[in-house]
Amino acid sequence: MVGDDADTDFICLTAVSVFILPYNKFEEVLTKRQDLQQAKRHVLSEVNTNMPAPALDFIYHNNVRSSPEAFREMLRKNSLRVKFKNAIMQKWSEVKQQNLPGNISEMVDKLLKKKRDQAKDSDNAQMLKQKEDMEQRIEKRKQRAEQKKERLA
Amino acid sequence: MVSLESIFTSPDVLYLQQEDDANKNPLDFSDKDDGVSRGDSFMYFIRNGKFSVHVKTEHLRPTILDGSAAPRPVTYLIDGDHFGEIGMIFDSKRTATVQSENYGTLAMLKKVHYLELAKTFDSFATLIKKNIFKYQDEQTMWLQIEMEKIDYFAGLSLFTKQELLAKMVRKTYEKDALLIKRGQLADSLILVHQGLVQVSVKYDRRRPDDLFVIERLGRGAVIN
Repeated sequence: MVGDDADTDFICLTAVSVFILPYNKFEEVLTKRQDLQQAKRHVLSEVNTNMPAPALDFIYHNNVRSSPEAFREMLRKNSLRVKFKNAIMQKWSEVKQQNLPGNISEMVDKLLKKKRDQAKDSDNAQMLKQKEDMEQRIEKRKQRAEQKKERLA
Repeated sequence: MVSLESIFTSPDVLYLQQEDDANKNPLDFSDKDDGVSRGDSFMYFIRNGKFSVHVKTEHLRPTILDGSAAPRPVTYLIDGDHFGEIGMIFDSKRTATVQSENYGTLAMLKKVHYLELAKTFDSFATLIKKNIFKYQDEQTMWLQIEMEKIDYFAGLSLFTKQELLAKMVRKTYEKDALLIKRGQLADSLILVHQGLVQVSVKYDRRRPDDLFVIERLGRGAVIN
């Protein structure tokens, strides 16, 4: 609901009946209701931290009906379960991204770029050396001219 | 405080249109996909007659087993009662089917006239809206309980919660259908009503048919 992409597939194992609240309908209510605007701001402030975006975002079914306390306790346990699985999914996504095999054209491009950079570096180095040599020669000429002046004096 | 009855017996009120209803003629269907468009929003007041209210709770199995297309009535409405205000106030789909049990007479109030009445009589809108919270059928209660599980909905006013519930659309998916595809923009909140949803990922690109199951979600699970 905060404009994030789904990280996993949600497949119907059986025929499934759902109630859907589309974002555009949610927005219709949002424009009218201040309490909802405030709640959204609160959620956004929680999401827009430096923490990575959640990989899994669902709330478990909670069929505990023995007492309100038991219901709340199960909610707490379930939320911890989602957090735990979320952490695993985030790490897994990170590892998968790191181990992703490269694209051949991308690899060739990278190699060519590396070569070009190296060639550029070597050209630069040669130019620097020539400049240094030139400066040394000028310096030597100056010294010789000064020595000649001294001898003549 | 002015009562609803006194408002409608006021000589200034000429908004109500009388409609005679034939026996056993269903008025509103909760499951209709076309719903009620904004311009056609209206509600009914019962002048006389008996009407049954049906809320469909079973969406995966056909209801032909008990010999009727409509589910069992959750309640009956009689003279002086009203219905259809949720769809009218929130511009949403009808939440129940109302069927006449005998010959009855109804008065229809269109939204445009409802708004005029609300301007004229301060307490009118409040009185109508208060009635929305009186519905205690199984499905409404279940939806309210399940939505309470969402932290940022819990602190909302009853009216905002009710409007969000009214804006929800019910859908059915076949077995093996993809409810959400990986990479798809999450642009809706989904509450599982019946059936099982599997959350899974492909873990090896060389075995595209093999899935790693993260979770199986059942009735009452919320997918954000």
